[in-house]
Amino acid sequence: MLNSMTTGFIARLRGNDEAAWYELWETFGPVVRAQLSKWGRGRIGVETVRDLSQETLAALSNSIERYDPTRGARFSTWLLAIAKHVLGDEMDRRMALKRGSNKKKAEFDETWMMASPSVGVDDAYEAAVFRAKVEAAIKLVEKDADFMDFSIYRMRVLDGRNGKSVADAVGVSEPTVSRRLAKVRVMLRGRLNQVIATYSFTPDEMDEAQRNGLELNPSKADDALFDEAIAEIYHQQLELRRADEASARS
Amino acid sequence: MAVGIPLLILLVLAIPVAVLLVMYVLVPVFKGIGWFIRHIFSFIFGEISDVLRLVGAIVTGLVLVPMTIVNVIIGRWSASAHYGRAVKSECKNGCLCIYRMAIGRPAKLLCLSALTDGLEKRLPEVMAGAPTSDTPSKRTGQFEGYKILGSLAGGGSGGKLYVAEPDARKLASFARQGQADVVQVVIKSFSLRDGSSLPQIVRESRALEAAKKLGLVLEHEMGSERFYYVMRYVPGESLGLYTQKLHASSEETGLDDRAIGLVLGVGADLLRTLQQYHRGGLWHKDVKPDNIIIHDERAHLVDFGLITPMRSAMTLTTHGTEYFRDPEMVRLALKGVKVHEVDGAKFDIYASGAVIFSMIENSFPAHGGLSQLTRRCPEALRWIVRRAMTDYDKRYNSAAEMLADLETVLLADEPFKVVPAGLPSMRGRAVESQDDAKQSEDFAAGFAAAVAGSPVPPPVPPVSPEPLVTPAPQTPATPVAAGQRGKPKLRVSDWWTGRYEVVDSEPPFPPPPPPPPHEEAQAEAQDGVYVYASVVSAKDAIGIVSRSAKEQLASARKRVKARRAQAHDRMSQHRIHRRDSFSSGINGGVVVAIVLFFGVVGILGFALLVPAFSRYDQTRVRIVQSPPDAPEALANAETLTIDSDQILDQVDRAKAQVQEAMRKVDELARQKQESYASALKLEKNARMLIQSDLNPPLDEKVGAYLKELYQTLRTAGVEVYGGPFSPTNLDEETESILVETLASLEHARAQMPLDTEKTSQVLTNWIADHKDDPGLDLVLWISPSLKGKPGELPMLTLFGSLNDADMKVIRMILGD
Repeated sequence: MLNSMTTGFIARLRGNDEAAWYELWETFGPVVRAQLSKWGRGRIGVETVRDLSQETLAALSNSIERYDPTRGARFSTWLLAIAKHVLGDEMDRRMALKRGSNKKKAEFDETWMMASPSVGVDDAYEAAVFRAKVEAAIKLVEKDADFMDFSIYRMRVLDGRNGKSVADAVGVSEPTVSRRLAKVRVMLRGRLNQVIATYSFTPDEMDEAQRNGLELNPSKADDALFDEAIAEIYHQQLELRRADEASARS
Repeated sequence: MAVGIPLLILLVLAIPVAVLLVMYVLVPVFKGIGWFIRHIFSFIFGEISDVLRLVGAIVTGLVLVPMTIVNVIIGRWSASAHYGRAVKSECKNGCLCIYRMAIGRPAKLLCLSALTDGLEKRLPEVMAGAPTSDTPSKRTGQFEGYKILGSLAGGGSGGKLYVAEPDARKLASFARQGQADVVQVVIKSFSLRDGSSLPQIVRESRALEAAKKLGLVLEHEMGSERFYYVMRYVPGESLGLYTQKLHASSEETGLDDRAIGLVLGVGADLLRTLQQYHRGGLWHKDVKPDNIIIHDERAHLVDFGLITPMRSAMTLTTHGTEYFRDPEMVRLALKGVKVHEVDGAKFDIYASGAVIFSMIENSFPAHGGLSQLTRRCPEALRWIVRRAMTDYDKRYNSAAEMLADLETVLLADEPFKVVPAGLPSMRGRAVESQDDAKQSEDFAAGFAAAVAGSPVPPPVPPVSPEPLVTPAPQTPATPVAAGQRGKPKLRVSDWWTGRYEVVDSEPPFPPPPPPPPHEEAQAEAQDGVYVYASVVSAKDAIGIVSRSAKEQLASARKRVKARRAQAHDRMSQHRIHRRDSFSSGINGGVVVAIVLFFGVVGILGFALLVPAFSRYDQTRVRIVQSPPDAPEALANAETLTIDSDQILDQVDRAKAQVQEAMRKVDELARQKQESYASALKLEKNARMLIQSDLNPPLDEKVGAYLKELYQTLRTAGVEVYGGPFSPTNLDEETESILVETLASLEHARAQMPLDTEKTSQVLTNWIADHKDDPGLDLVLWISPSLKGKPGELPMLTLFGSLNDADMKVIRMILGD
């Protein structure tokens, strides 16, 4: 079920808006690369993984035209299906090259668009896609929020420092720290709503935030849990980025 | 019952013990066994798969080789090249399989992977980063005025980098540009014949004029097929290597206090340099550890390949290096934003933050602005890095603002006690630097507009309250803006109309000791050149009485002496700086490699060849002639014995006879030449300056011709200086005079062709000016022949005059 935000983003992709493509690449590139590396371990190198992840996103743009929301596939499933198709295509091409013949371009297997228990993806991948969405929301908040507000949120929540040390470091009172923290938290919830709406196709995906401890319409008591979940996701995402950077350098 | 209770207790105790035993002993043991079996099987399967791959590679290679040969025979060159590449790939795969089977997998099996890390990871890195050939290829050609010393590894720009030493003429020319302390240079060359592409050349040449104005580029030349530019060579190591060393000498938790101080110093140097760029209206665009050279613990920014004028009307491009390039820049570039619509300085500031991050963490900021500094670092520095790498709109407005924050931490007694709240940008002091930045921006706008060909006229630069780059001790290579030295400082009194006033003026060169007398004050210097017109006007203005010719002459001599002293100092300075020079010669590693190689070859050779030669270890050789198919005749064979000493005596005698004959021939030739030379003798000795436009190395034939010409001129009584065979045993003072004179001659000629009346007139006047000091009579200009074929004799053009008889002799010698 596509909402207006999703359709807006897909319209930008369909309109070949390069900035939208870059956004997609920035957000989901590391996840796709990690998945491709996992599948192609020992057979494809780092550079090929990078090329294939780009091709995955390019293929995504083509299949957007044919996407049928009534079949109920998740965004993550869809992305994974395309990545797998691209990798399979590359393997076929290599084999065909070895045989010295030309290879007919494979048809995209659209059964992946259907929600089916037999065609599932692993939980680790689903979690990685969700974390990428949260990371995108944090980046948007960094852009929107005042530098001081975001720095306070970063020091207090992402770096895990206590309120007093944050207040001493930036030269404000503790209540000010709490106030600014709350301000950024509200912004982050808003952005999370937006990002999840953009990159989610099914009601199941929409509820993903709540399942991961990110209550988007919370009571006050949920704030601590929300911050904790954000910090955990941020650190897991840091690890993914570090691994991605290390593989690019090796 | 009595037995049952202890048994029950024992049973109760035994159950947890058994559980613990299973958890902590049996499970790890089984896991270990499982790991071991997996390890063994992975080795076996790996070996089998490698054997199969090797066989496959051999078979495929065997099929491909005839196909390559067939295509060569039938003249299908492209197809043969294609198959050749496939053969190469199969060979490479085969070799890798052999390596894995013989070394890689056994080492992994024995848990010795660390041993093969060097071969598998570091070796390919070292090979990829190796410099190219030490000399330019014939296709690229030579660089006139430079002696190539070696090469450096090129980056991703497609250019080739050579380290070179400028000759005396070039050094004198750089000195005239205000770049007196150049010792060695780096030439970045792009040649279409050598694989460079036109877009690369266009991109690199875009901002060179601007870079030259800032003194970053010393010289550049664009030909029809080749383009190169010359930069100052900064010895040292890249920041990446430097960072690795810093971390190797620190603990795992992060850098120690001294290393943190060095990081802060490097950051401050980088920001000062960027501040200079930004004030000059330029944006570096490729700030990264590989482009920062550390020398004497000071940072020098190099590589101007992507340097961009901030007011350029071009579309923003995504060029740069991942992790050090602001993602926002990529976004804007993809939207098609123009360069002048963004503030390029902010992207350099992002890269500076990323560089400092990489120094603290010893890794790249993989998460952009959200990257986390996990290692030991002052809180204030962490804040500065975040502020530099945050969103485009919220980061520091200028390099000056960031520098002010960084210097606060750098100068603090205890950097770890500085809190972000204590930084100038947090206390509102940033307003000052913003004002300063605004002024700089106005200047930059005008400067860059002039550079980029914009119709906006350049405004007058604002007075800088402090030098652009704080001169650091022992940092001769810190770039200084060219042309600024000696120029008057201006203060703009009305920004709207552009009116300005001169605040004070720095003399172009240090005043010659002792302080000039009153008449010296009349001669105002402009850009290092004494202008007679200004002397007269100044004299009129202050009403000083005219001096006699003798006094003027004495004054002129004093000035000349002072300039010679300066030239001498410059030359001495060059010699001092050579300690840090680039050396492409043999280093320790090369010596070890050579010794190892020859050692192994020697041992093998000794082991193999000595037994073979031992059979001939005698001075007499016995030759046996016998029918090969009659072994029984061997006993009765005729034996001939030759004394090898006798043969050697005969050879020596023949050699002596040949040498005697050669000596006689030489004697006859010398006598003939002397009689010819005695006829060509000047009545009065003359002094000739030779200027050569020939590119080294000289053709063998041309070299021999010129050498003979020099000899004949000297025999005829002409003192010859300059050119390819100039005397090499000159004292330092004479050498510096010669260099200055040649530079002056080049300057006088400028770009005029040699064969025109005007050039002849100009150079004759120049000779007349230099008749007394340094006493020149003639100038001989050697230029390449018009056809430029190798071995063709050069063109000789003579300027100046002597008496008729002597001119006739000179013309005879020159063959005219």
